[in-house]
Amino acid sequence: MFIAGRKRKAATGSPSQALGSRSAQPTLASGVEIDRWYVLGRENFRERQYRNALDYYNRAVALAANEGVRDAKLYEARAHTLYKLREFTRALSDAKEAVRINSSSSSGYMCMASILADTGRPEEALVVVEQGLRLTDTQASAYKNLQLLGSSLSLRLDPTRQPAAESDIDPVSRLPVDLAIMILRLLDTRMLSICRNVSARWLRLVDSTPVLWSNPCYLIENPVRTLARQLPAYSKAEKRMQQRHYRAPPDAVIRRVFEKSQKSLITVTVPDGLSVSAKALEALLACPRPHVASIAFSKTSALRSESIYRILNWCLPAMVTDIRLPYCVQVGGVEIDIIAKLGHKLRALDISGCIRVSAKHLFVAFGSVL
Amino acid sequence: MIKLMTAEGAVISVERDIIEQSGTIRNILSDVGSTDKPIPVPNVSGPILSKIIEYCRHHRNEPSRRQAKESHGPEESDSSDAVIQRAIEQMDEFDHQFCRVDQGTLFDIMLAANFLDIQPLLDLAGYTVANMVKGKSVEEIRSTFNIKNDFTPEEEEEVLRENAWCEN
Repeated sequence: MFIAGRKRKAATGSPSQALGSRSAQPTLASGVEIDRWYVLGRENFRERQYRNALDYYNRAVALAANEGVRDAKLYEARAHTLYKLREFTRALSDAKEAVRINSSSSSGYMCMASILADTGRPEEALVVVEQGLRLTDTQASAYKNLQLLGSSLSLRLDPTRQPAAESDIDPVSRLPVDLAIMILRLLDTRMLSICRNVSARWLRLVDSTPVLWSNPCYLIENPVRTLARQLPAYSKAEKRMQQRHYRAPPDAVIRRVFEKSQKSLITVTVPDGLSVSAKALEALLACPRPHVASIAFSKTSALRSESIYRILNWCLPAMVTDIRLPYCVQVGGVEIDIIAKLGHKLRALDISGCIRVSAKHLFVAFGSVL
Repeated sequence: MIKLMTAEGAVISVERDIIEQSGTIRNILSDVGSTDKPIPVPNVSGPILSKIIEYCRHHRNEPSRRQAKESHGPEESDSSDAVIQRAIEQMDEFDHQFCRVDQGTLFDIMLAANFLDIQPLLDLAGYTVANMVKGKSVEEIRSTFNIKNDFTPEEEEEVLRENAWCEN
């Protein structure tokens, strides 16, 4: 817990703060110190704080040079950071240094080749790629990337082959973002998850648009499909959809949907047979001020009574107008009490088949309203 | 009659009540009054403009469309359910035929409808595109829209793992 907290602080805080804390600590062995800067740099790099990452790597490299340590990974890391910051000249010299220290540094070659390719020197880049493929370990993670870069470069350099033009019928690259989002909003959660997989551009768009996840719908039944059924032109597509076998999404997906859509979540729907794990529930309940307007649990949803109670407790202070709990046998008097107490804006409450709720209790709970 | 100048510089004449389904043109006309000069629509090409006029001509006697749109409160028009509900109510056979075009044309129509602010047409086109995506696998979506898989092997492995549940 403590380590996680410190890491987060180091990643978001400025390097100078971390430097201050260092002077307060007893001096560490320089090897450990270099490693520490390197790890901090890597964390910042992962969080795309490239300026901070560069600062940390600079410290690591400077310290290493002082101690006479020559470590290729430091230069590789700094080269990548500089590359991300578009400082190509310095990045290139770092990448060269990494390769000089360790001639089988695949990510050094990768970095060098990418820089050369990006600065309009594809011929030189191809030479580097070939050299890298010859000298590096085929098991290395960057090896495949090198192969890919190599094939795209040779394609680009080959005058007989036209480079693959960007598709002009791809809605996501062709249309402005708002129109692309408008289209994606008509899709259900399962379809959105598939869309994430289409290309890097689709993935970026879907992941950076919380509003898409505001109506998590895991069921096959959804508005678009209802619409599709009425149109002769789309009946074929529907038939194909029916033939498919649908599985329930795993917990990680539900959790991601909850996490992504926290602020914009307006419907909580738990369909038949779907159980929400404790972790997913925590993700849902982590949202401080929900805007949920409607809650629906289906009869066979495997939620426990106390989970339902917590969800109600969490979202009822918001403007919930609609609660549907048909045949939820786990719902009892406690849930009714809290609904009566907190559901000020409630317009519809469906508790048909809730055998544990007695009429007497209902009158007691809602007596003042009735 | 209102004159419109397309992207190519061609001038197309259209009845005022037809083209007033476009919010953009309606605003221009209410600003300048009636004018003989052609109104430029620089990002709409001739063929697409004729398509759009065809659509507007078919729906010229349906003022309810415009009113329905305007009476929507901001929070209601924001929810996709409301959009879909509206689309269900208002689509007819002409609309389905109208959208039977290739994807490129469809996107051009969508862009033009967005520029000209013709909400029902924008909904219709958006809905049609969504239906092209619906029920398809990743590969089918890529081939429908001619999209190249530009993931690195590592990225692809990761998204595939995350998505294992929805693949068939």
